[in-house]
Amino acid sequence: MDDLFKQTETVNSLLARYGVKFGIYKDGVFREQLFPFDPIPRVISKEEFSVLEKGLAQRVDALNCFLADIYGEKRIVKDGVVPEEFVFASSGYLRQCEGIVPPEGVHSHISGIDLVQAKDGSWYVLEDNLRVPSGASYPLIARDLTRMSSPDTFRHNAVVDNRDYADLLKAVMDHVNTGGINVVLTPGRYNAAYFEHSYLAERTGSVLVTGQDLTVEDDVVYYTDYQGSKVKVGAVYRRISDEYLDPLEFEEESLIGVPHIMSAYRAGNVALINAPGNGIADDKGIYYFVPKMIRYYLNEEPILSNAPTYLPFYEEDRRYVLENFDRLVIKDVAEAGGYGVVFGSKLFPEDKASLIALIEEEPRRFIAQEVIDFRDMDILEDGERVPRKADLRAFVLTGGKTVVWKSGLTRFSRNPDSFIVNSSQGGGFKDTWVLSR
Amino acid sequence: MELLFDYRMSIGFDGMASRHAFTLRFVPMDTLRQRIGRCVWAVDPSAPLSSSVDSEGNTVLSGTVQRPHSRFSACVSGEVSTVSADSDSPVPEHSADPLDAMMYRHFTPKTEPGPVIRFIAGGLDGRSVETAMDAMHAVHDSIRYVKGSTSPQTTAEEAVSAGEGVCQDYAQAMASVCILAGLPARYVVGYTVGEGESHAWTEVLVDGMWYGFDPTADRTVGSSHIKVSHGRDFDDCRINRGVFVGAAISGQTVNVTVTEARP
Repeated sequence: MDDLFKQTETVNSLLARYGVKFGIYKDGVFREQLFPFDPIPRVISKEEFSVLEKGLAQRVDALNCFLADIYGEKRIVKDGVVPEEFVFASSGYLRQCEGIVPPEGVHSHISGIDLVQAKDGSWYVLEDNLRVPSGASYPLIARDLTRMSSPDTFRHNAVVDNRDYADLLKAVMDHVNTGGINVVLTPGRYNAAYFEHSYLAERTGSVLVTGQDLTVEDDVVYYTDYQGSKVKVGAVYRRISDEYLDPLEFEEESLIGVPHIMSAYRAGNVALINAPGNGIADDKGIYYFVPKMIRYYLNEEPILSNAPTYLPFYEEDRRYVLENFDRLVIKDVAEAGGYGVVFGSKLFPEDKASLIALIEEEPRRFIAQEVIDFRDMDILEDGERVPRKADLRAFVLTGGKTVVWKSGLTRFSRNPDSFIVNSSQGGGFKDTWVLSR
Repeated sequence: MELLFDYRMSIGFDGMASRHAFTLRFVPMDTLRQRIGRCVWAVDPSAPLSSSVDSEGNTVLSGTVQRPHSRFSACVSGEVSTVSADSDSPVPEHSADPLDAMMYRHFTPKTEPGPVIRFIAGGLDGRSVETAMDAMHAVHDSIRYVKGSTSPQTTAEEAVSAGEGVCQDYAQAMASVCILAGLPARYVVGYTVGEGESHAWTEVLVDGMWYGFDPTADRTVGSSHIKVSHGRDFDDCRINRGVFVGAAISGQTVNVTVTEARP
């Protein structure tokens, strides 16, 4: 593996040359930055991965049941398992999706489940991402490059080939396709994950399109190619968020969406991957209820644990949160990407007082979690191994059945004092190896 | 009562608009209180229209005018018979769907209450039709009708705080007050006898039945109202939505006429 480490510079410069970048907006200015690759892989044994695999598939199956239920019968709310305040008053609940059964009944086709490993080796799910989870392309392309720059490493380690991601993705698209071509709908080149959109379109044999390339006539979606001929579209892997998807149903100002696409979707004439409205299931408030969903829908015990979480919404939890404020992490349920996350112990007294007042005023808006003692992972910094916090985003794909990609995106914080690993916060990434024996 | 209605809307552009995609929620619905007879609609420039039903149960017409145009108009007209309500007691509009009570007791950004809405709701007692009547009177008394004083973005709380508004503000405020008082409520768009713009009012769910209240006029919804659509707030019921390229809107006119049919 030392050979691989020596190739770090080469790999990073190749990543830069191939345009593997991450765009961020800061103070209104768009900048593209490289997403630094660290050569020390996360290695997961075959046995360990098989437990993760079962747990992840179970979790995603339950989340899909939840989505079908919420936009359908609402049994879980009627039965009092999930309080209705957490559903119908949530910004993730989209009234426009009420009553829609998506093609093949799948709501979350691509689920990005974020996990961390504690010092004792046990895994905890930190977050479910069921809207437009990004990041699969990074370990995919990094693997490609490391195999080229250090073939010996892969000759001597029994690593499962992860380059089947595009095949898994294509199988999902084909499974839900209503007849027509597959397209990847991108907001365009100034999107943070544009590199990934083009890469995945190419690898799945889909057409990369922007909103302007698609039109809807009589509730059918068409793609107009360069010659001006129209082709029917059966599945849209859309990498734009719900609120910009259809200006006639959501944000009217949206220029990147497709007018009437929701109407075509409602009529069952196109698959949208992932289904709109999924924000109701990956809300930080709903997270608390996922283990309950697994028991409720699947009648199984959850294989993977949540981080211990408290909902100030419940009187008892609120008291606990206020009493143990300094050792908890407080999250604003409306925020994403590592924003709106604060550690109780790191607040100045006046900020702490105002946050507590806010929690008492709007308890529904927050969750509190125990800080998990992460197992650090080594990264190479100036040739030295130094420990850093890291998480794992596992990619779970649901078509005919739910499968877990045998790899994943391991993100780490470059700042030794930070627990936040999001790429939008300046972290880096590693490849994730699943061993085959 | 037999009513004839006619709704016309016209948008002028400052240049040539094209790829104009639109939705129209302007076709009245059948309810316990009203029956739709003849009903026809058209758009100009003409475009194929597809009809569907949204998640609220409203009829939505969708279409796209591809070619350049400097003006767009849409109209719907027809006959409606409404039940006569001779007293001031409310008339049932719909029997409630089993999920309605759960679905219509949550606030949206438009109906989220603030101190003034809370104050108004604080004066209410019970969960009966009378409670809803009291809410209607209280909202009516809290807002002075001033044309043009608010915009489509105005929230219920903003309207009652300013003490001025138009029918949509009365309707959203009454929905907010009722929900706070424990009565599921929703926003309604419709037409009323006379000539002018479209109207908005509030429906309240009591004992499995939806009843209409018109807080702008401070009376219950009766034989002179024609209901078109309902939703949680103004945004769910927008009569016309549209997107286009190439030009900006230079003006929009709406004209609604509702008259009693002569036998």
